Amino acid sequence: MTKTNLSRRAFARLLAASGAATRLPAQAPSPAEELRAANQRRTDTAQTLARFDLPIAAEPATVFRA
Amino acid sequence: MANEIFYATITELAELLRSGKISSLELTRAYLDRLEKLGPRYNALAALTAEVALRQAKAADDSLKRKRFRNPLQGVPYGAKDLLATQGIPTTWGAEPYRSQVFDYDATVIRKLEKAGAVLAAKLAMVQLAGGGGYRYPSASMFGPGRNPWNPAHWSGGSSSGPGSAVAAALVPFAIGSETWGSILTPASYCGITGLRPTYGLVSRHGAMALSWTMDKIGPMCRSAEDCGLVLQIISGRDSRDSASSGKSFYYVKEYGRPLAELRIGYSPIDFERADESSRPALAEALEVFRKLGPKLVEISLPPMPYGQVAGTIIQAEGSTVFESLIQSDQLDRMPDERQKAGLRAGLELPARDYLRAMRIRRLIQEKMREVFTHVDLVLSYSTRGPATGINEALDRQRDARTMPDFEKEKRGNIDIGAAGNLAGLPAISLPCGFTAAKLPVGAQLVGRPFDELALVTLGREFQKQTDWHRRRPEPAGKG
Repeated sequence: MTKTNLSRRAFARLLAASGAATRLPAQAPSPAEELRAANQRRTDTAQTLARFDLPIAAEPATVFRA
Repeated sequence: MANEIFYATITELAELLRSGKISSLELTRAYLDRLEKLGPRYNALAALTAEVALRQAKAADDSLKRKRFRNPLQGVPYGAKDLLATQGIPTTWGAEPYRSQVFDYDATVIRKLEKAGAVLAAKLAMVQLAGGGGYRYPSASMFGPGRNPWNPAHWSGGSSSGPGSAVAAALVPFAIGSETWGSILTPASYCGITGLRPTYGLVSRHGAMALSWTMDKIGPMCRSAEDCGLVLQIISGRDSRDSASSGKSFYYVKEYGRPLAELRIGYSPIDFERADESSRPALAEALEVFRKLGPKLVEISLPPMPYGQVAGTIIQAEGSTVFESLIQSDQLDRMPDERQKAGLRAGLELPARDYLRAMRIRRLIQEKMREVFTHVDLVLSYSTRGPATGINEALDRQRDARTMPDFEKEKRGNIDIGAAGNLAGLPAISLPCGFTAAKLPVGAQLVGRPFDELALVTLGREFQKQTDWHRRRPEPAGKG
């Protein structure tokens, strides 16, 4: 195939005309990116809980029923 | 064997077995055959336990022939989620690193069912490690994604995916599942069956894989509320081998159920507005059925608290600690689902102060829930916000919304009853209450006080006398 300088829009039109997907395949996050995202969720959650007004005398649950 | 029998309730099967119209051996062989043929279509099967099943069926027939009737489960086959230890039979926890794991003992629940005369026909598939770490796709299992018998292009729900689909497709009359947060109620709702999550500590966890020591519960998944009551009676009770055992038992005595007119059911219109549009008609109809049954319906809302964040923190901390050696080994990479693996790894970084903060808020949540149940006897909401999701659909966006809601700003009604109920160790039942226009099941959940499973089962039974959703049958996969 002859290499041409196609713009992204032209390339997308070409793919659409050929019946192929017009989106370029999404890159799945790498394991390192997943771990960063997981740690971010963990710290976001911790920050939300830190905002909760917890009385100083509140003790941890030791019985796991109401 | 006529197809009808596979859709019979436990009570109906017990009648057939006791009258001698069918033997347990015949019934068991028929279910084993059905499990073998149809189980793989739904990725429901972890393993057939044919040898054990035939031995137990013969023993049950001996007792039945001698008219030694003990309980309705005698001679009735069942399936067990593959996190319950079964002596000499692999118990995989749904995860590749544990494919060859074999315990030399039975979980207490399995022993109790054998003693009652029930017949273990199969180990049933599950989401790997019961979903610990937080999975993105239904395929997070060595058995593949659980397929919904109502539409195999949709998920059966998890993590008790095999029990959900096996009962819905009538591959077993009942199954034993487990729930830390949603793992009985979600597949019950998605698969149109009845699932009961007992009070924390009512059913022994001995021999069950732990995900969260302080939140794991083992419970029945059946074709009816009454069946759930019959199974719970057998599997509940004191067990010195479970440090969290409450010492209490459950007795399914219908006469002890409170008159329906005396019950107060709390609900919030916000839940019905926040439910997926496709589920709303069925949920609205369910509310009317409960109203007509006699209980007083009372509008209530849970107090605004970070239920999802607290539950998520506790499960992440405990779950990652349970699986610490797996996470730190190279075996973790044998599992699919990168998000789940990342969540497990991140859980090991969770500081003690964050876990303890969550546990302190948990105690406050427990106090609040006690207060809620001074105003009502039961809380009614949807079991899942919408029907079964697509088999390839990413689940984490929905789950993130559950664990990361803006509890300070939004009006949330009782949509956090799942997190709140599990944090407070409360029992709950999911009842099929209709279908969406796309013919996917819809589930309604009732949550009760600790150890008030009788209210859940008796109200569920009355609901199922007025409706027939629990009697509906999916078409077998591949037909039509």
